[in-house]
Amino acid sequence: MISGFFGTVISLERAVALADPRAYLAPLAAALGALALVAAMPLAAMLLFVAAGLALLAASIAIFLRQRALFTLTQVFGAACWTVGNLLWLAGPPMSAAVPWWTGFLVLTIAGERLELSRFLPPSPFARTAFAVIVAAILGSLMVSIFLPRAGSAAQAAGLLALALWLARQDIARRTVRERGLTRFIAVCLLSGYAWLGAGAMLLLADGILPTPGARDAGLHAVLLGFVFSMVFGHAPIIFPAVTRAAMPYHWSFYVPLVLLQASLAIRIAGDLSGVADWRRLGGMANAAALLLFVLGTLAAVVRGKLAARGNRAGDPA
Amino acid sequence: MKSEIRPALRLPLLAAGFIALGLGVGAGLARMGWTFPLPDSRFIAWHGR
Repeated sequence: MISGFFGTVISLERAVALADPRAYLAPLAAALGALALVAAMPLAAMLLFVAAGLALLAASIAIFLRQRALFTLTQVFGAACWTVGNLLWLAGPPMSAAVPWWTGFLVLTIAGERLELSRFLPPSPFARTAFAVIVAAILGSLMVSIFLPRAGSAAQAAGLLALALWLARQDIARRTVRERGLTRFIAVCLLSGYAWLGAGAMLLLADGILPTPGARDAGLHAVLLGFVFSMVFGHAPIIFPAVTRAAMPYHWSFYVPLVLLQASLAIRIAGDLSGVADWRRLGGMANAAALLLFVLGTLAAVVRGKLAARGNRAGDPA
Repeated sequence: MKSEIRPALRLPLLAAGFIALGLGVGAGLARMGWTFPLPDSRFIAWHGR
């Protein structure tokens, strides 16, 4: 899911931003890798994902060279993490060695994006330095995870916790949550995502210090499902129209998958930690329903946008 | 030479990404004991232990 879905979508968004046809090699390779998985050709898929990672890294470096800034550098590190994670997957078991790197890919990509958008409420020099230190600590923990997986995992969790606190403190969402409509919806997504990042990091940190049954699964899903998908839900009404040129007008129903995601994840994590398998299964199924509702809601919003545009054109004086 | 790729050409890439999302979710559900048709049983291991 990380390489096939997020790899394709993130590298497609980066290619659109770069406006260079060569940058489309990354989403093309990632999409072909996803199709190779469907065709049960794992080796081809792994090789394509490695190629996609390298192409995204090249595109991210090109963007950094155009605009030398902390947020573009953070996204270069994110792309590098995806590449290393894919190489570790290709290198063979244990696959768990790739997970911290894939987590780094998503977290650093999102953090870089939020830092870019913080230009509307610029962080102080101290806050920017703190951000750079946190990113360096996360990268350092990933290096450690290659040789000492448990210590690396605990160190990464500490870095993720610091990042969650930084984002919650610095993000403009704390102010925009008082607005209305789409602006408030995005802010609610961001703030709930930061809460899941913090909660997941604490679970992973606790598991790193004192292994607890279910804590690793709960922590990983809090980060990869709670944090990452809250961000996806919040950014979709901006990124999807930019990529597809299809308007996606705000509707109150955007909250339905978001609320279901939060509630179902809480049930699933409670099941993980308590060992009640039925809660875990029920929460997992409701997680899937939330993602399905998000996809259907996105398609419905695009149709609404097209109908509204057609109505406006019909109403225009000739 | 720099030029834009037409948005319509981006849709198949997005579609492949969403297929991967469906497979990932399905593998997660199968891991928890739900029945989900997967092209390869290794998907469950790839989703994680």
